[in-house]
Amino acid sequence: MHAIARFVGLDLRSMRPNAKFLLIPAAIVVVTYLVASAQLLSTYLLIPAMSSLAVLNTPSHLFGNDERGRLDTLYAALGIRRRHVVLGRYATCLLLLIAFTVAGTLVAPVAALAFGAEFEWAVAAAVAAASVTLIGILLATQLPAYFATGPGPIRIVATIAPTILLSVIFLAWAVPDVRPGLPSWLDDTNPAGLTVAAIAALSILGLASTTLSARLYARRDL
Amino acid sequence: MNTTEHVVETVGLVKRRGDFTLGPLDLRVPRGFVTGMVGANGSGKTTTLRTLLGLVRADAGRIAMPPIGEVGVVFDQPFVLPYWRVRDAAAAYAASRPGWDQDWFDRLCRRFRLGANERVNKLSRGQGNKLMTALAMGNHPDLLILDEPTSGLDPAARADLVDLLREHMRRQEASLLFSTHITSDLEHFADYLVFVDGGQVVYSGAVDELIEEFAYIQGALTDLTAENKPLIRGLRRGQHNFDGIIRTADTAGFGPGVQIETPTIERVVVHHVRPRDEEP
Repeated sequence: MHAIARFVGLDLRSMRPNAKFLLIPAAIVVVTYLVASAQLLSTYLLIPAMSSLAVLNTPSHLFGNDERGRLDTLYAALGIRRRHVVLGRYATCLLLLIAFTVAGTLVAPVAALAFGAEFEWAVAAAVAAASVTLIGILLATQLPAYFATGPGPIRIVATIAPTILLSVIFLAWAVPDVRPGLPSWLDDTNPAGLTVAAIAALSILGLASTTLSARLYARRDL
Repeated sequence: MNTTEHVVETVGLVKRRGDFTLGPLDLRVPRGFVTGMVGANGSGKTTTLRTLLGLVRADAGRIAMPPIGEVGVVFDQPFVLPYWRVRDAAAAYAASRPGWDQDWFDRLCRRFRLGANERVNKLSRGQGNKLMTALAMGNHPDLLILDEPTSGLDPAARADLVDLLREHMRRQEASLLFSTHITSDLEHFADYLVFVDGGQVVYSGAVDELIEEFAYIQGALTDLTAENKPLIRGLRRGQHNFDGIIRTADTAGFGPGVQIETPTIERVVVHHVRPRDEEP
């Protein structure tokens, strides 16, 4: 556990000098939303929009750092085992996913207030949970490819594929019948059961994904 | 005190990369000594070191190494983020290397004229190597593995680095495995030598024995005969003269007209990797 925490610390340290590459896209998402989309879409959409940065931007940034700084060699020189590199990288991505989602969830009511839109915390919490689940699933499918090859060959595909998927989901959200249906759907659903199901799905997929990544990374010549 | 005779030992180590095969390699690095690894570019030095460190997966064989916390590593290019400052790199090492000695690292930086706020991407290649050396030595590791650490350094800086490594070797447990193609760095410094060519160990043993085992020979072309010519490794012919390396045991095969000298490591390496005979 200590080794994983140490790796997360190293990952965050590697991001710190260039944090603007994560913060600027986050600011763009918020400003774009506030300027152009608030009326057309929904205040709640700010939450998955922020969460999506964790899959669109974070892995390519972290693995890009590995490539730029030959950090795979550094990890070995510092005695960080490959398995701990994998687990640590997953932990960093999850941490950033949660951070982006929380940021989106906190900005959303402010936007709702500014635009005079309705805002319910129950709906926001459900949207945040769904965002974490969806982006977590995308990360779980994306990260093994990064560990298998490094960022070079797959960076573009790994960014474009989730972009298309998320765009489809966002556009579907704009369909008039979908958005108002969510609160009533939530009323009819058992939120605890839904949460447990989402956590279970994410855990199983996350476990399979980390196992696969650990095997792929262990095989790689660095 | 660890009394094991060898600090690094490999048995039957094999790594295949495309057409190139390293090994099978039986390598022994004696504890408490400086071992130089020499060979031409592409001979397998870096692949050997990267395999020892687990950066490259061996296809076969066994490796015995100290725990990585007791090993300092330097490659010919820095492996820290280019936009990090020297102090960021030190902080990363300090957080992970057992026994990190910040005072010692700061002293090394002063010796190398590296400022804590300098960015890695603003350092020259030689300064980058110095930074990596300071980082590798920052926790007084028992074993230093250096891959071409003097590449990019001017002669004065190379001499200074070798002096520093000599100081490091004064510690009782210290061992050093030093790969280089600048063989003059190893003269009067390395105790043992591993000479790699085409992925195979050509020679592994004490430097003194290598120098005793081989002799540098030069003479007039007329001194060459059909009998003694095959004894010469890396035979180089000039207009009137030749030179090359022979086994000391073969000295009797040459007449009194040839000059036979104790070779430098460089001469042994250079002539060994040349074709056995080179007709004009």
